[in-house]
Amino acid sequence: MVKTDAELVKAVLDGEKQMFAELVRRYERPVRAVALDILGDYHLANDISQEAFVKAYEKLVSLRKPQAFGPWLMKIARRCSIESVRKNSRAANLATNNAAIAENPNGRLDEENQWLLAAVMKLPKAEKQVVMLHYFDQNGVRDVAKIVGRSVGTVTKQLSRARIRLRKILERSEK
Amino acid sequence: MTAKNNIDEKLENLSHAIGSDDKFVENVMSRIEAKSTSNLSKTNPQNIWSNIMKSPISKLAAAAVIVITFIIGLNNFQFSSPVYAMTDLPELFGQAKVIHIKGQRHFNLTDKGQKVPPQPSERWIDLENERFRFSNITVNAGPEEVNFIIRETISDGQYKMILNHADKTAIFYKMSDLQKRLETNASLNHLYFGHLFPNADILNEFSRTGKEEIDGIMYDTWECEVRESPLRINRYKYWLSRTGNSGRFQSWYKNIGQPLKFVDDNDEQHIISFDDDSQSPWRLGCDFDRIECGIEIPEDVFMLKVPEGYTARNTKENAVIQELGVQDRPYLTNLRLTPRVSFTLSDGSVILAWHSEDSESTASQNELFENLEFGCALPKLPIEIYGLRPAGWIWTGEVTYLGRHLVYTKRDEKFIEWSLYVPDNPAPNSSQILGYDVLYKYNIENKPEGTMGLTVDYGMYIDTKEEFNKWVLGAMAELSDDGKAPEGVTYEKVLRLAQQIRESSAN
Repeated sequence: MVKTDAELVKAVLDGEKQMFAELVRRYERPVRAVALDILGDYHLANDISQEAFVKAYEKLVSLRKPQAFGPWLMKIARRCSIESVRKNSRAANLATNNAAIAENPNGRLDEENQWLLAAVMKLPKAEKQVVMLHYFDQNGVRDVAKIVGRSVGTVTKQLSRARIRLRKILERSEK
Repeated sequence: MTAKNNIDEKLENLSHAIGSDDKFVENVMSRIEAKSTSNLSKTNPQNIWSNIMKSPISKLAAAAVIVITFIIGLNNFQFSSPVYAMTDLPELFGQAKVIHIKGQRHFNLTDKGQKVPPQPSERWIDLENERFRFSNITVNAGPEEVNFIIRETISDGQYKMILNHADKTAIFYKMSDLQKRLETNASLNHLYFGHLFPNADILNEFSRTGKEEIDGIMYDTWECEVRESPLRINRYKYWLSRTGNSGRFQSWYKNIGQPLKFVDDNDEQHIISFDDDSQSPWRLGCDFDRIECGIEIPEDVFMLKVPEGYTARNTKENAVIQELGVQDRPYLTNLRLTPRVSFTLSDGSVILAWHSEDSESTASQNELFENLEFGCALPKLPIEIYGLRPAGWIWTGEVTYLGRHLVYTKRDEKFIEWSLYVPDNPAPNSSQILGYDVLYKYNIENKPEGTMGLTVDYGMYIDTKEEFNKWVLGAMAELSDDGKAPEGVTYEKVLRLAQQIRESSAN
């Protein structure tokens, strides 16, 4: 039985710490996607994603709306990634990183995927969340609906709109 | 290709490119755990004490500050530090990469009250590298003496060596990837439910009863008593520090019932004697005084070295991969029934792979498996496992697991039937340790006389689609000549079938 984000958050706050592992499993790829979009480097993104989850766990008590866990977590991931860029004295280190990544094709997304990921990140918050849960975490539409606490119809519509938006963004980028 | 499909495909490619990390969840939870522990040590009064003593303020002022700060420190300690309870044990064990327990098992076997010496018991599990080492004790209690046969299994992650300490022999097997995972997992399962607790729910029964110090570490003591059956009560005691270290585990039992007369399916009467005095003493069952997680592994623990004076039946070099569930159980010379591997699903139903053949029959089993559909009646093999029931005579409830066919695989000319067994009532937790008794019937003309007792393991517990795909489908692939699981078997489909069987048996 799929638990909603809100149910999992509540369980964690009630002391069932192991429930947080389910949230980590659920949002692993979406969070890595956010980090990867900003950092470009898979390994760094993986590390920053872990950091984002740890921060989320520590701040969970401050989350006012448990049902908004997903978008809230994405914000933390984004902030952690930007902070990492700052810390690593942006210009010099990123140049070095990119040089290293270029030699390691597994460490970086190819150009098409970079464009697509950037496009996903530009989606409205609600659509971005369902796209990530559906495509990145391979949940069925019903499960996504349950996770985010929306109806199946709403999620289906949001996915459909997101596909149209993504197509338009990609078409524009190809021109 | 439609625009929708195009975007779908691109997003799926992107998801694949983003990738996932098998250890990601574990790493995050470890980092959280490490932070919790470090927060704990930051608020530890001893640290505060030591920091304050380094302060350059005057003694008098220091004394005042010490008192105030110490009180604040204690309050912080009480309200913000993690304090582990028994219900945290699975998580604590789950985070460990290495687990070691060592102690003794005690036996009070004979009606004559013979004293038999306690037997050493030890288990190592290296979860990261899928290595394990443990011993099994088989007890033969005769009227005059009690014999123990101790077998030790040691795996170095590639091979396993089984040492029989009774006849001083050693045998090597190569292990497939699936076997390594299955057996490492089974070893962890046996640690929980074989060495320590009879089931998972018992952790909720423990209450904190006091504090005791062992080797300079202060532990909370946790205790509970559980009535295992109408005839027996068990008592458990666990030493758990507030920082999550395990110190010791002991269990006792007390027989409280009258002698039990037991009549089996063939009207044969067995009498099992018990103390008829409800005031009988508590008897120590086991005492594990070393329970360690995440420790350094001594160099020789997983070394496959045949001890001096032992005869090796083969070598690592010519060891073969042992097929899953190879322990053939010949009942008569020509009839065989072999359970191969079992899994218990989250809804309590059981998937069991089994094989049965009549070696004197020349007829192919092809036709028995032709036209079988998912969810239909079981194939009429020479001996048919038509159902299961919770193992152990202590179970007095009425639960029967009814079998249906899922799929079959074929390996080395043998047909292996994969059946689903669904309980018609809630199953007892005792199955986790005791497994399931096999209910069988003969589908041959000359039925042999007598009965055989056959028990299958609880097996691996499967509660997610991912685990199902990894373990169940992995086992099906391993028991197939083509190395592939049959198509169309999914976790959801199996759970749906189980639900249908439950509904139809309720009507």
